Amino acid sequence: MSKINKVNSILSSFPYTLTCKERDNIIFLTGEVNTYEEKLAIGEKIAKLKAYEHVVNDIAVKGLTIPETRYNKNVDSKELDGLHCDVLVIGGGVIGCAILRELSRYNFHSILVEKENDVALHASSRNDGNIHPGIDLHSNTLKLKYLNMARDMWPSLAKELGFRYVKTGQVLTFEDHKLIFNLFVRFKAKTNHVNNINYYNQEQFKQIEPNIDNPKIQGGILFNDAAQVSPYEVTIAFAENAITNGAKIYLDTFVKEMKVENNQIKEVITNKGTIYPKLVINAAGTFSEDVAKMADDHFFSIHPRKGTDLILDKKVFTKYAKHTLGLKHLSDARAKTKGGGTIVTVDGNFLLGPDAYETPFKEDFSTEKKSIMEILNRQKGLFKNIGPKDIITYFSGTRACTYEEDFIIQQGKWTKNIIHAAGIQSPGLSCSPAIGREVAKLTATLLNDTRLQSNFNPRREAPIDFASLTLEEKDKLIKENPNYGEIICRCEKISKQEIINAIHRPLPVNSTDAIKRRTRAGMGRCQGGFCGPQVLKILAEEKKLDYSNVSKKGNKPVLDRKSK
Amino acid sequence: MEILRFDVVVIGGGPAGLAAIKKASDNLAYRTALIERDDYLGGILKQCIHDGFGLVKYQKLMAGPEYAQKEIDALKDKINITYFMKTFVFSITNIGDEYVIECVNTKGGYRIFAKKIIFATGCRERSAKQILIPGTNPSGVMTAGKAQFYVNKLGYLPGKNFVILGSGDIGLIMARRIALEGGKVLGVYEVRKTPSGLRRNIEQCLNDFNIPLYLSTTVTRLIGEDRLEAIEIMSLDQNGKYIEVSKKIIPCDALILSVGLIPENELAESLNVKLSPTTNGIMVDQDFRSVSHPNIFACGNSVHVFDLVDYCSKSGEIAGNAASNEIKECDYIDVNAGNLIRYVIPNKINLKSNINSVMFNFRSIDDYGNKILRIKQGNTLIIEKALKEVKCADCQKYNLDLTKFNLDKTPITVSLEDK
Repeated sequence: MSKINKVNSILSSFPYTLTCKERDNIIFLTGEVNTYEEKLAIGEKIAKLKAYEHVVNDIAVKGLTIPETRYNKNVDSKELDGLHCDVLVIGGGVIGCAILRELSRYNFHSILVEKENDVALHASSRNDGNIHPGIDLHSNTLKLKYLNMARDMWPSLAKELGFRYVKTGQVLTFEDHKLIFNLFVRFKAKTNHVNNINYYNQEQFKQIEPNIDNPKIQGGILFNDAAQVSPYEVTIAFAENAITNGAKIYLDTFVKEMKVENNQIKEVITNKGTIYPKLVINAAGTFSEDVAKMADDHFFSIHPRKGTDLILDKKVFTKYAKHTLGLKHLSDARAKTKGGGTIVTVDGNFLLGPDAYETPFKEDFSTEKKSIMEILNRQKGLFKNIGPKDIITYFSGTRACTYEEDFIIQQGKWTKNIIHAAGIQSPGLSCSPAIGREVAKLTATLLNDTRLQSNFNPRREAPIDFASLTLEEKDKLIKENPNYGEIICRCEKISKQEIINAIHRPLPVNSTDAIKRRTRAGMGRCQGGFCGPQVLKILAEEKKLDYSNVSKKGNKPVLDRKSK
Repeated sequence: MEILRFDVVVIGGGPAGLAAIKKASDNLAYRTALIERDDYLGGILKQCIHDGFGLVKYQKLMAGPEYAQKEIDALKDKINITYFMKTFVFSITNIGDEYVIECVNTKGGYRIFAKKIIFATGCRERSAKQILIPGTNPSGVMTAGKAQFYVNKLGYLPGKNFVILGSGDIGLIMARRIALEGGKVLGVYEVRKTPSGLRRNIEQCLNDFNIPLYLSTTVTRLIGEDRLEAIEIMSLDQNGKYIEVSKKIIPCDALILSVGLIPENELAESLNVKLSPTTNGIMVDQDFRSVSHPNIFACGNSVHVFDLVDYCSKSGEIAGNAASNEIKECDYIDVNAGNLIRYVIPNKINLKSNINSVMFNFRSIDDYGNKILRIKQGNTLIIEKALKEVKCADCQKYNLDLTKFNLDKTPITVSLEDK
């Protein structure tokens, strides 16, 4: 049976009029079905044939309306109108910012546009910060290729860019099929080039994780190289270093359309005017399909996969676990996610999750009680005593999955002056340094200009972490600047000066949540109950704004008007 | 950096801490210190500009700041108190028989050695996330204390159309405050069958302002991306199960939560001071001495959530007084929460204490109507008393005169029973 006949036979097994079309080894699907689940199932079945490079699933779902993409409509600036640049990166997530930082090594005029009013607002902050060992990845995937490139980049990058990188180690545990797990890991470790693995039996496992109270656990496999970073800290570090080296980041900037002629993007029309880039980089996350469409280069589809994470009080970690942990069952092998686990974040919180389920809504970051309770209950296999009282917050994010479940990192298929860094899902964060480097290299090749900036500064000063200093060091800093002696966030112990420092770093800070991501003020157990108003006050004063013009996130202020 | 030594250090300058330092410094041989993280004394009272304070202690109703001022003024002539204002405690460790407190203020760092510590660290408010309200994470969702700060201290209204979740006194008072400041209060929602606030507050804060109170109804979802746009509410049936058909969307741009307070005891916890698993409060005897650490005391809301500030002050006085005396040995009897009781303070009775009358503070698990209070030692009934309209929102009290009983070391149980 020919490829197209196989596709048609899948389509005809559904009770709808569905059609397909082939172009340059891409299969395009159209028609209408009743449910989103059916649309997904069709896309997945056809991708499983592995007959085509990509599936573009344009099948409509009856009655389903996708809300308009959110962006700041109140912007009336035309500051970017007429701007010519060498490279325009679309999307300020960890991928876009990693690329921008690597581009800033070169002699290019590079800019990045982000529709939100800070970087790292979608998947790059709605993320568990895990640097994966990569044991579960399929060979011959870009995921594995970039992970193997990135693994050794992290420690030196962390030093260079002043972000925290903690080698927590990750332990896979199991209640049954010990032999199968061990054999599987030994086999995959070889093919995937994963080193530094320890295999523990039941007794040895008890010694490395004495607080785990599950007699059924037969053993554990420790991946020593698994690590943790803070995903938004990394993104901000990339962004700030790029700016230091001359790149520009424009926030609240939304790409609306593109003018493409003769397979070249000529104009990129934004809410702040028309930009004329020589080359465009698509790092738009769940919106990378939309960008590809605008660029007349629509050769893949993204289906968002939502997940929720829970953050537990810092106190809980000290009571419970030493490593990142996951309790696995053989049945997980067929599931779409690794099933989640428990993670000790770089800040010392315990993080549980994530789960995974499909949604048609790219920007649906809402949470469900059912998810929260399921994630909590799933970890009861490891920690009996974990309960709702330990939760301090929870959040959801959406992963940008293609039907092929792999990254797309390449020049445009039909449009020549675009590079896609699309379909980035787990382990996207882990791979980001390598993706940044490779995309920048490809850019230099395509622009036929590999000259490097002579004065590139790879270093970014880490912000001062006042709480971690000794009392003597604290005293010394306070004598230099008394604002260090005023503690604003009680739970996370953040001083006024650290907040002021965050406001005046290279990337502008526009909301109290932006301060939270940079300093942790408001991220503790009271969730900003005490410090929220203080942070708002400091932000207003530093930016010379009225209190009623400060927002928590987005562009709607926290305060309405002066009281009577 | 300064290194200082004190006999007693009080942590927290709210009403409990002020009362504690007053009594602790009565021992003129003692050097005492008060550490307060804000730049004023009086704690949360300073933003409680409504009246309702002082009826028990001063036999007169006062606004929060007025009550606080009375307590501050009472310290005027004290010469053996050192105040550390706007000073934040980073850590407390135990070295030998001393505690080492590391703290900072805008002048520098301090290493303070203390023989005894009194924790008067108060409470924090439970957040929307802690009661697991799902949905989005917009601005406009705030605890009552935060709203109170915006309105009373910054002078701004944090929204236009408000919904209040929780009918505790703070929630009711904020409803009135918002209405007075020109905000629209759409209603107060309470998950329980009965309101938790005082009857006079329901009258004066809601009825006088035509603010509706919806019982057995709660917020089940937040809607709106950057700013709250609406909430979803649902009612509960007799058994506390959600009634699916009662689901309703209420457009509003602010949600104020008054859903409970949690004693803030992370500092004490870092010293392994024993906390109650039920309340997170420091477990104490009748002297408000920690049951695990004889040189540590606790008072006010870091022990449990008192319903009147007057009782917070009282607990501070007892703790301060006990700390001002040299310790005798402790000879403890356990006090347990019995039938229908959520918790009892004190957690133990010290037979060697100077205090011979023990004030039991306790809360019931639910609302029960009329019940009999029975305090027993083992199977021996010590006392019984009829209680009317027992509600879990009310902190019940019973003063037991120890001199009248010949107590042995069998645990004491406080319970609510039928005839």
